[in-house]
Amino acid sequence: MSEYLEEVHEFVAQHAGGQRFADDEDMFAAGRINSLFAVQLVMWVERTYGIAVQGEDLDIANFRTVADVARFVETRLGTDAAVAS
Amino acid sequence: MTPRSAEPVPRQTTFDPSSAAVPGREPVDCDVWWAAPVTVPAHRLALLDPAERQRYARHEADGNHGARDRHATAAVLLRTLAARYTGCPADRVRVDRTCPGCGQPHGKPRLPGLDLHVSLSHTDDLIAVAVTRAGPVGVDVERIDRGLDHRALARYALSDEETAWFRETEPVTGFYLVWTRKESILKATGDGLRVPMATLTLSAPGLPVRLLDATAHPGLPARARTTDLRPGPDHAAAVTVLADRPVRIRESDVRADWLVRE
Repeated sequence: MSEYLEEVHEFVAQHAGGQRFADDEDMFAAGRINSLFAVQLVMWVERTYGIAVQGEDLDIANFRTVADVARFVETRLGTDAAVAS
Repeated sequence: MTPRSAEPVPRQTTFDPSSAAVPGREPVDCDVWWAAPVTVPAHRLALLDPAERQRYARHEADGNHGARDRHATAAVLLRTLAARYTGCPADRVRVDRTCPGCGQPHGKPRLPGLDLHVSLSHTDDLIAVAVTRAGPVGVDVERIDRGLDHRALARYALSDEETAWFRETEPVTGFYLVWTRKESILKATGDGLRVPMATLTLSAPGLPVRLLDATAHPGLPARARTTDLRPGPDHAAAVTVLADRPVRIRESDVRADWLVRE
């Protein structure tokens, strides 16, 4: 699936004590990672991919799993590229 | 409200600065228990529910002993404390974590049938459990990462009013103070990540902790009683109780031997 998947995995693992989540595993389930990390993840997405995550994009549904994050990045970059071309 | 056995050692008492005695509005208690994760012995693991056991087994299979012990300790501690406060046997305490937003089991823990509010938070090396009858409660503890890019992160956590006093020179500990206070508030309301922290405005550092404004919850500032906790130099923590009267916070350390032996 998404070409961004592995990059997201690497970032998450760095912040989760080396722990690798399954693509579709809920990272927030029962405190496996905390909300400070959630914000760091949003910031990382913005900086790494040049995407502004604001308003309704800040929905936790976009960041719940590694696959969700990769999909969000893909969608946003795809949309922006389409607008640019 | 005193647990039936006083074996865990009380270590300090803090008061909500707003707790000046008002007739008819006597303070209510909220206890915060601190514990280090331990390897839970087999006979105590029986307290875990099926979902918790599944998670335990997965951490075990991954060789992730840190996460395994942290979650098992928290699960056992929560039930042991609930038993002490209510008299319900620990193996009969049911913990419901259903998220009000999506129904998944990652929400704030509730104890159906028991007149007790609880909240859990943990770092790698420290677990906090807040227990009160006063009202919904939220506790948050964070390990202080002194290399954290806190000025960049502040943009996501601060309201416009707070940005005005949050100076470029603000130390990382100042950021954690704001973060844990807000996190404890959003855990008490049950909103968690669904309400942005920037919609909350707190009083400036150095002043008594007050929630001044909450865009998503107009009635919240009158009920949110937030207190900073003292987990030690490497951590920051705060607790919030939603109550119509002052809240008295008592912090205690849980002895590891009590936790595994009970």
